[in-house]
Amino acid sequence: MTTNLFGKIPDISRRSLLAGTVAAGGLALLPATARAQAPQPRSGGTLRAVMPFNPAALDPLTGRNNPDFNALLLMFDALIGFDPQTLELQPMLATSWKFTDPTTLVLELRQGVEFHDGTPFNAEAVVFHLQRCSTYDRSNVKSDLAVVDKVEATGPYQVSLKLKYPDATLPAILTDRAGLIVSPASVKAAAGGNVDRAPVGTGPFKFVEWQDNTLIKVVKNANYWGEKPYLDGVDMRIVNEFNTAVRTVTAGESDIVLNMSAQQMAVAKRDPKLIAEATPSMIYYTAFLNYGEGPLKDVRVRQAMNWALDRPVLNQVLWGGLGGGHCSMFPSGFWANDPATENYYKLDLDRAKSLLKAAGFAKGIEIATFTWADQAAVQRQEVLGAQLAEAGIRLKVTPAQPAQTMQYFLTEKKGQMLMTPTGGLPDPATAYDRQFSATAYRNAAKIELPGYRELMDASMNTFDNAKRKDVLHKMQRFVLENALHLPQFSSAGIIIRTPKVHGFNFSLLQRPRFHKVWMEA
Amino acid sequence: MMYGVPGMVAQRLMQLVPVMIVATFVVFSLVYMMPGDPAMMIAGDYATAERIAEIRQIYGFDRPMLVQYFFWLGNALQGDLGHSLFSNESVLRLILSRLPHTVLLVLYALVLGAALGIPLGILAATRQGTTLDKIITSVASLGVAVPNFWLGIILVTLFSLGYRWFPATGAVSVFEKPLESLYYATLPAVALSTGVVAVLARQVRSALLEVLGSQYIRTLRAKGLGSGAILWKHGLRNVAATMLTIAGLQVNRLFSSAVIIEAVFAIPGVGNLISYSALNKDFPVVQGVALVLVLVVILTNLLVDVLNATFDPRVAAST
Amino acid sequence: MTDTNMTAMTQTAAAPAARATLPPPVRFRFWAWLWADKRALVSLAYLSVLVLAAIFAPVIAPYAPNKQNLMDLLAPPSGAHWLGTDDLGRDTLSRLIYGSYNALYAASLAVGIGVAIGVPLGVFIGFVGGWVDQVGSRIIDGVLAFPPLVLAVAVTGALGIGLTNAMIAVGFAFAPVLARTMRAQTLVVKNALYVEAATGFGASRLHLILRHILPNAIQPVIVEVTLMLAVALLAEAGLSFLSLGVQPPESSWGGMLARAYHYVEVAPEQMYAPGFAILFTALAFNTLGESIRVLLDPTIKRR
Repeated sequence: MTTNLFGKIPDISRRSLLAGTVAAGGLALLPATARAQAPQPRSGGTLRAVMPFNPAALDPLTGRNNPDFNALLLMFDALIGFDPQTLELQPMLATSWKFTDPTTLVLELRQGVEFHDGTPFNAEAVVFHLQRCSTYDRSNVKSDLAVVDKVEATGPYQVSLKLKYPDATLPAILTDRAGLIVSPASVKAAAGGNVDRAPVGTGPFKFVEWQDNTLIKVVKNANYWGEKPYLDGVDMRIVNEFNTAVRTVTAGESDIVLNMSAQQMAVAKRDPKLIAEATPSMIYYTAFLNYGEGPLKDVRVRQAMNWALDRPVLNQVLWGGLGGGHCSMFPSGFWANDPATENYYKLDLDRAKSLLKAAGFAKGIEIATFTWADQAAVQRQEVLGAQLAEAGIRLKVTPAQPAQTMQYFLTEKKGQMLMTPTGGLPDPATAYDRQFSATAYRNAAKIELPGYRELMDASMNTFDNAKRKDVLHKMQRFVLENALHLPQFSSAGIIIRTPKVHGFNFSLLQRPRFHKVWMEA
Repeated sequence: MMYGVPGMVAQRLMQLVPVMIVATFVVFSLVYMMPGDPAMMIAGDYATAERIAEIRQIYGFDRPMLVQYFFWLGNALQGDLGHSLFSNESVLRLILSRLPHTVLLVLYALVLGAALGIPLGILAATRQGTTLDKIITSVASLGVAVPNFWLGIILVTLFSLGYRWFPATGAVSVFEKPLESLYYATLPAVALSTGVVAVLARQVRSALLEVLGSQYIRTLRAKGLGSGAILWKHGLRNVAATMLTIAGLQVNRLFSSAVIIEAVFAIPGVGNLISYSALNKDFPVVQGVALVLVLVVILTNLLVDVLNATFDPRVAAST
Repeated sequence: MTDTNMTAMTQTAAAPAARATLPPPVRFRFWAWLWADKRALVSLAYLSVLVLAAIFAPVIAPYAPNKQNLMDLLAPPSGAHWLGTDDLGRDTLSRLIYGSYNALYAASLAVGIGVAIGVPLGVFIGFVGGWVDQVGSRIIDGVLAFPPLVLAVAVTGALGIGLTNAMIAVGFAFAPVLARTMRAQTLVVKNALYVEAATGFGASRLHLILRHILPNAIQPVIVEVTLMLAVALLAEAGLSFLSLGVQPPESSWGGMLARAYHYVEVAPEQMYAPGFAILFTALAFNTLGESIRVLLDPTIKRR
């Protein structure tokens, strides 16, 4: 038993996140009265939501950060949807999709759908949108669709994508930004095609206004093609400071606050009128290592660092035991996560020390580290530093703004390690590709270790799900054996709400859809 | 050469131009020197190197600093402060939508400070040397030494989360709901006002003591004028200039403290805007806010001088 | 920046002294003054204790400041931990004691930078005069027009995050204030008769500045510097709160406050110790500054 913010928590290391945490996190905190009655969904009401990040843009193509999806999915539908718990692909604007050959993907589109501006959704609109993804100079998703050679309307409601090479990740990419279809009419009408602040999609809510870094306001789309949303509208307030954000719910000034961290969960737990929920997340905490040069070129040093961490404790102290204290990049139970290697590294100081000694660092070693400067990041770095120090690995830390740390470590190749959260991509192969491929921006070394490329290519051109899973499990083992990074724990999506809010699902990607959310009167 | 108040205003407005240029150039060079590449932030979480280079070119980050500055200055002179690099929102609109919140907060704190500080100062001066005087002077010292945001957090814990008398966060538009906006601004304004209370109390006290101890007042007293009449008619009139000057100088300080207070109370003001934008290296916004803040501060001081000159023509003559 | 004095004092401290003719060299009995001015006595005593705590922290502190105990997080005050523990189970009292070093370091650094830039600049433009003075004064006005914390935020951004950089930024905001005071003082002293006399005797410019101008013009700066130490301390807390002054795992009071704010609803008592430490120290600097001002300015003394 250990003590933490949340009191005594009996077993933290091996909770089944996928099945358990929603129930354990949510229900346990639910007041008994609320548990007794099961209220029926009701239409009406405006949800007052709060999130801590201002979106960069409400054009899915020019935005950049994951929390943008809190707002984007209100207004936009994707070509392909995903199950919030398993990320299994689901029909959305495309009713079906199929690789007719390894380099041709054919999408059948939903009929009778209209954009908020009244223009029809059809093959023409999708072709326009996908071409805009690749050609608009401000598009941030060009690389996502780099594999696409040609997009054609092969029928009024059928679109075919010709690929340059086989790519099994493409359907998953169409659940992401590139798949969020923007009204072509709105783009053509906008000056320079810039719809950053004038989002028009087919989603369950229509855009009203966006006061920068303050408020995004949407109202119900009465003409929505799917099940009608329950809410009349959503007022999404942006409050940058996390504690202040929680205070809006505590003080009754909002109904739900998104993207919180474990500290705020502890706060909410003290208030019987609030419900705090933690759900598994594809976002995980790690440290990128530059394995191309310097001391970390030696795999033994990287392995020593990995053996020196006590991940269940990290998860416990830093995420209140709400995340997963293991060394996989994905939450436990996720299909691409191999349970056999999920706990490949456990705390073993002797092993860490002997590996260091074998590498010629018997007296310990100093690692130049970059980290973010916010209080939570400082706390992570302090706990991690204390654990590594036990094995004789001392961190020499430079805190900086997130983008600055990226510039120092990835562009200027300073230091040996960068502590950061990452992940949150819909397809696991893409997650590996964006972190470890030689072309990946996040790979400071810009090299691939022998054996990586074969696995990467196989994960891209294997279409059979069972075989693909097998390849990805091998990839997980490869990354761990070679200690390509220093994974610490997988995080959790944390929200705090009043008991009046129902039907909210943050999803594994922390990309919620609000159209099934409803509020008690 | 003009004399009197209009002359002074004209002269001061002339001096404004070089000050503004220096001020904006200082900010521009600072922001320019910041490490961290705005292009990288625009490109997003999973940017490729080519995309970053492309953005650098699109936004002109690859051009020399002076070229970028004069480009900005030229536009600014025509009233165009550009667009935010990140949200693409017009900088002028951003500032105009936020400035009222900050100005309300600053004015509110100033009024609170004056309403409390001036009577305290008078009280202390008229009871010089008594226990009351000592208490007031000591409390004033505390007011200067207390970290504003710390006080703000304590106030929130007590009065918003404890008693629920005041909202914990946010702000309401002063134009749409004037009364409610004051209600929202109360706690942050109280947290901000301690310094003003302290400085005003202390300065009013010593200015008043100086006046009351002067030969002129002693003469009046010798003529048999009551001490109440002396205080109101002669003492306070003479320290009005001190009060105004102090209040004017406090405006600059209040805008400073507002940067942190706005973060504590989630007030969408310019302080919040500039710290957020400076950290994100959003040049146009930082520049725009700096320009507007400097303008506000300078104009406030000008207003104080004009008021002083109106009360006392000798001031105008001396500039 | 919570710089209540910063702008106000240039008005109040500089003006009367600039008006005054040169005071005779102060020769006073330190202990007698201290005994007479009880506030200065208490402030100085408090600050001395603080300096001693900073120096002898390893001896006094009950625990190592960075020793984590992850089994005992955010514990309330107890016999073992008089001020409780922080979010990593570190002893708050020990961190507070070690933090006094960083507090004094931070404040001195900021003021030191301000003096190093501001004083020579002020003397230089005041002494040379002419167009140099014109241009210099405009630049000073331009920088002074900024709300100081806004300037500090921008400078910290330029220099990079960290305690030292944040304090350099604050020093940068101090510099124009000191420069303006020095310039005004230099002008007064320069025009005083005996400087002209010295020039007549062929004294070099450097000699003039070092022997005659600096000693006579520096007095109001001493007052300002003492008051600025308080301002710097408060600024450090503010910048740490905005995540600009972070320097882990070293403890600074501002950093402790910022960290405690993270947990304010869970362990509000953690907010109090660093908050009061900052408050009392700022108070001590302010009180001392006021006392020195009264001592140096005969016009105030008589009141």
